[in-house]
Amino acid sequence: MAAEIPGGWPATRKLTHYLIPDFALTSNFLWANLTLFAIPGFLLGARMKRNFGRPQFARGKSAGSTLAALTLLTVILFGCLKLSFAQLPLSTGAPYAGQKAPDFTLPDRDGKPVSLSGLLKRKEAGKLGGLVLIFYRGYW
Amino acid sequence: MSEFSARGIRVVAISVDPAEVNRQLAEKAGLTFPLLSDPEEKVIRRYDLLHIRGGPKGADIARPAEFLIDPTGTVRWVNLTDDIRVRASGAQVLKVVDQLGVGARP
Repeated sequence: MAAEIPGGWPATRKLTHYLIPDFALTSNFLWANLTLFAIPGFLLGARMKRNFGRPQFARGKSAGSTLAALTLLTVILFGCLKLSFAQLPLSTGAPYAGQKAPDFTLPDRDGKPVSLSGLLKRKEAGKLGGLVLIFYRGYW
Repeated sequence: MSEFSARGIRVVAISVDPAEVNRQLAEKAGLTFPLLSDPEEKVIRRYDLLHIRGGPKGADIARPAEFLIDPTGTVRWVNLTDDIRVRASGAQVLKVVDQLGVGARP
């Protein structure tokens, strides 16, 4: 499970991650998400129907088109905001090759403190070869 | 994993998950290397890997990354990986290990 993640999974996860807004209410309750898009959609539909159904009274036709444009713009903006939140941080301050890795001490799964410096000093299979340090997202 | 051991290389992983979750993960996935817990993101921040609101329900988490560190504590290779939760990317890292000459001879 840790070594091989199915090829399709990261892609679909990414898709839902980007498409579904990540705000507290809307990520907890899907209906809130749908409402967000349903309200302008409904208003838009109602307005357009009214305008085109009664052309002789449709003085607000241009207003209707404007509303449609504004709604579309809002949806697009929303989507862009969501995309920007979904991007990974630049992490330009991460240690690069040649730098000393910052030391740390953190508890392992049994609560025992483990330090980087301690790990580097300990031999693995009788040899001192270094360390692969992996950071992962968590929330298993 | 034995390929790393043969070269004297250890593996360790860090996330915001607490020890109890790590215990379950290790058991479920059969992981033998240490899983370290950084719930306050102290080390994650130190390594500049904080992904604000990147997790479920807007939680702050680490963005995925791998560092190859030699016995002197010097970083020899960094991989700021894309959207993958845990990446024991064995073969790829092993290749780098051998190319850079890090680690003891297997």
